[in-house]
Amino acid sequence: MSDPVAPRAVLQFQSPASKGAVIEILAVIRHPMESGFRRTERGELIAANLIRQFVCRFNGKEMFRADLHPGMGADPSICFPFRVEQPGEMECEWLGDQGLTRTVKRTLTILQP
Amino acid sequence: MGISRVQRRVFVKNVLAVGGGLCLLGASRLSALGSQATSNREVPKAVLEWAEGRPLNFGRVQLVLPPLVENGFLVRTSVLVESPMTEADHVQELRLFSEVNPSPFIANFYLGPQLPEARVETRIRLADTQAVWAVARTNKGEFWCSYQQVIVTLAACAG
Repeated sequence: MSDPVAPRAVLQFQSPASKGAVIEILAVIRHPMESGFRRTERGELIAANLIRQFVCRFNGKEMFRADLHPGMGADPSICFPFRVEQPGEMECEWLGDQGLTRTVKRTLTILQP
Repeated sequence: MGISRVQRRVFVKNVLAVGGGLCLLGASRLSALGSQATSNREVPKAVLEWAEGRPLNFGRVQLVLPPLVENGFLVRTSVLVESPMTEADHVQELRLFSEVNPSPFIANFYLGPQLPEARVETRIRLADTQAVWAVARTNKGEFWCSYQQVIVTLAACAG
């Protein structure tokens, strides 16, 4: 969990979901989002360590993208709506400083009536 | 004994009534602070730079933040833009700005007609009592904005 290369990330949504329904996609990653403005007790600036970009794709098609800046809270969480039309794979990707990349995939299935 | 009990009951009732009234007054004052949607506040420089001289319209953007937070480290923020989100008329980009944080930029969200509605929820950092701005750019190049005043009792200390 504290491994800097692969921080814990969660992609959460309702699945199976009925066709035509609007569901909430919640993506959270464990990350300090060090702003680069804080100082140590000795007055030295702490280097910035941020998640810079977040992308969500469904079946390879981009659905949602975000650029994150120092004003985002630690463990950035993003929640947005999504209309269920077909089953497929939801993929979220985070890109950040120190070469951080993290991808989480989850399958969306359709609720059979 | 009986009388004093009644008096106590009356006293408690009055205290509750007055206290409740004060709370209501406080709440209405806070919400009045938060719901201003006019342009009488100075628009942050970062917002003007993004708009590049194009007109900023106030409205259509609903920014929901708690009016008072104890701690500025994680402030739940939700933004909803009134838009049909069709191919012909949709929100392309939605940005959050801070007035007094060391960096005015919070996040840029790229939306599109593939989304059922222009809505995002996240958690932001606030260095001090200030207004948070949400600005949306539609595919027609219109800018819609709104701001919300937040009182921060313990700042997300930048220093």
